[in-house]
Amino acid sequence: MDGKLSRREFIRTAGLMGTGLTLAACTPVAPQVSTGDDGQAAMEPVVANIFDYDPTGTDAWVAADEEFINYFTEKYPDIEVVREQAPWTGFTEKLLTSIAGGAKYDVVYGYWQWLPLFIENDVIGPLDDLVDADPEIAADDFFDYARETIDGNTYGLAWFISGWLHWYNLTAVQEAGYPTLKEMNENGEWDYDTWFQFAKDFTSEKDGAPIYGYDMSSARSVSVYIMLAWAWGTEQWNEDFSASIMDSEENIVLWKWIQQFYLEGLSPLPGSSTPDQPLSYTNGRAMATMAGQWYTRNIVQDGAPDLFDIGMVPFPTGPSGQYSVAALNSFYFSKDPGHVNAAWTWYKERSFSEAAARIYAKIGGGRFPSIKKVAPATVYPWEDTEVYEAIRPILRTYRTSPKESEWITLWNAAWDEMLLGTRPVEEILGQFTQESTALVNT
Amino acid sequence: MSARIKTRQGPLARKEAWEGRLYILPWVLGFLIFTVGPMIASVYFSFTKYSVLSGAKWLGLTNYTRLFTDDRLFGLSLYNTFYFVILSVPLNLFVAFLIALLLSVQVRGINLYRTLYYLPVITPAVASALTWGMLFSGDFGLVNAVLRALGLPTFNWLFDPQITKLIFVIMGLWGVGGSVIIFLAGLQNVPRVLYEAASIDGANLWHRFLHITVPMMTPLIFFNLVLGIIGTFQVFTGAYIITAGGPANSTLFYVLYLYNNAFKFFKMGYASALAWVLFVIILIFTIIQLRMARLWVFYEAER
Repeated sequence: MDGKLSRREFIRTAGLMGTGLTLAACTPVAPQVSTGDDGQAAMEPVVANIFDYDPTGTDAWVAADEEFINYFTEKYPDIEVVREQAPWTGFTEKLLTSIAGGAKYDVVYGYWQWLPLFIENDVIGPLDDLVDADPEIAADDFFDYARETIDGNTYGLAWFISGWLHWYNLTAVQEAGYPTLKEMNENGEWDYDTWFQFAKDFTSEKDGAPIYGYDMSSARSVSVYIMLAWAWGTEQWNEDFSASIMDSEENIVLWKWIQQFYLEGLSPLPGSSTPDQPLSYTNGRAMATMAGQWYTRNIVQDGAPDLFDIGMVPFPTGPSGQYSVAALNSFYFSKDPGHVNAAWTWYKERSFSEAAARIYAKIGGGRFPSIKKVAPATVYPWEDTEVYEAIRPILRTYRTSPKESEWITLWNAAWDEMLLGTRPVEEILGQFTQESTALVNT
Repeated sequence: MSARIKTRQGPLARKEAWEGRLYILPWVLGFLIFTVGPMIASVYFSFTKYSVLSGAKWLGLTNYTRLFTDDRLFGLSLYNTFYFVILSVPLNLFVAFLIALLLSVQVRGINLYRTLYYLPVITPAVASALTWGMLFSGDFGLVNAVLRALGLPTFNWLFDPQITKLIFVIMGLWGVGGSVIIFLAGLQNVPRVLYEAASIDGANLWHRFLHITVPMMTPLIFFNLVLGIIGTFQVFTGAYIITAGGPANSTLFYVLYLYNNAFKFFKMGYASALAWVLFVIILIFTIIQLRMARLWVFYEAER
């Protein structure tokens, strides 16, 4: 042998290697997750496996994450944080298919819409026993609106609580000699009629493109619409989620009221804008919008404070009162965590420690703390803390229905029909109510 | 008279045959494990309630009966898909054939034209979809800007159920390059002698096209028709990215509905049933086409 491979030998070797690699790739590999069991070496750190949101693109959030991880690993050198991240789009798909593929996570990033899906698939478990057993905290330490609760079990204690409010172009309002919406609110004049009138008064045209009086698009979200429904004395579901009440008289009146914004061209229709030319409040193409406190981040990122003064006001008072929905972002705890203590330590620190509040304040949003002892934080000088304080007593939590994500597809289709005005609202809501009730009872 | 020659393989040939089998083994294994295996599994799952994370629970025919008796969106997604297929397939074939005819003419820079017409095929589908979405945007889209400049009425293209499916049909034309290449190859293989003979017999351009080009191209028209129908029944990317099935479910195509069930609602059993129904529909269409092909497809070798 001269030590060289003949062509045939080379092909044979390559074929065998290919076969071997294919077989190796198909062989299941035990997940490399430490369980933190007693059998582990004493000095080896225990592992907390986290499936987290990937905020790439929001620099302040990425920096805050990094700062928090540094803080945590310094404080708890015996806990190794193994963190996997996924962007918002496709988050649940990635998480659930990873778990189906054998991955194990102790704590997962949460969002109220996903809660029923996670519970139904045994991905997460309730926190109540952990809170009860923890000498450092008590259930009473948390504001009611900070809990994500289903059937009496608390699955999430929010790390990010954001009340919803109206943001408006204060400069335009003042230039028009219009009373500020904040003043109107304080004088008890800020109601649904004045809201609609405001949208009419400030709808105009500039350079051949419309300037909308109000950007109503967020109301499409079921958890935002609920504020309007509360104000009108109705909801989307009955008490035990066994029947939809979307065909209630109040809901019908409310949908017709919203429809007018679109039929009269006061609010942009879906499909109007492009990613490079969005129709939004922050670029002055809409005079007002509704969003959570988190919107401060968008306002700053889009440079709105350089264009006009930012106005803030709570939602108007409806026939049944004035409300704001608490938009929650929580972490959820695995039903079967690998190492409970390590994971719970991380959960507590990340969700409601003083350090986390300080670090994550930098991402903006004038957040309300979930725990009473932590003070709320604001970042930008134009944030109106008086408005935040006015929102706090009217905060309520959205009730997530069973089969929420499936129901939302029905909601979106009905909403589109309402915007288009293709059928009478009564007819749309009648069919939607029937289908919603059928869905939750399937 | 033809002779059949039977050869007996020697030891070396037999050894080579075994080696050949060994070399294709990785692909065969991959095919069995990643294609055939999941297909068989999905047959089973289609009779179960299965969410990926918990074990499958046997339901019998429930998923299938629910599809046909109790799921309005199944019927609607099927309607949307048929609408798209019926408009899109003939239009794509016609346009692809037309472009291929133009590209078969020998003019200066023809290779550049051919490349340009093929470029959209290799453009990532997501990028194309986003670009189309921007073109058809209501207030700032280029299409409306042109209409506005011409003094014509504008439309909210992506939020009008009467129009949105048509937009997807138009978007489908963007990807005709693949069919064009196949037609172009076929056009170049039509024997010149047939045209010469027809010319001598007095046939004009139209007659030569109708009686030579078209019959000689029928196998390729048939091929593109079959692949076109299979492909358009699976329309997904544009609807997923641009409209997410809206407005009012007008672009909820079948595969998008299947995807929603599988990966949004994690109803894998139900999604499997949807997948098999689609498979049967496509199979029926393909069999019908194969049967009908005998009536209109001309194979030179058969004559």
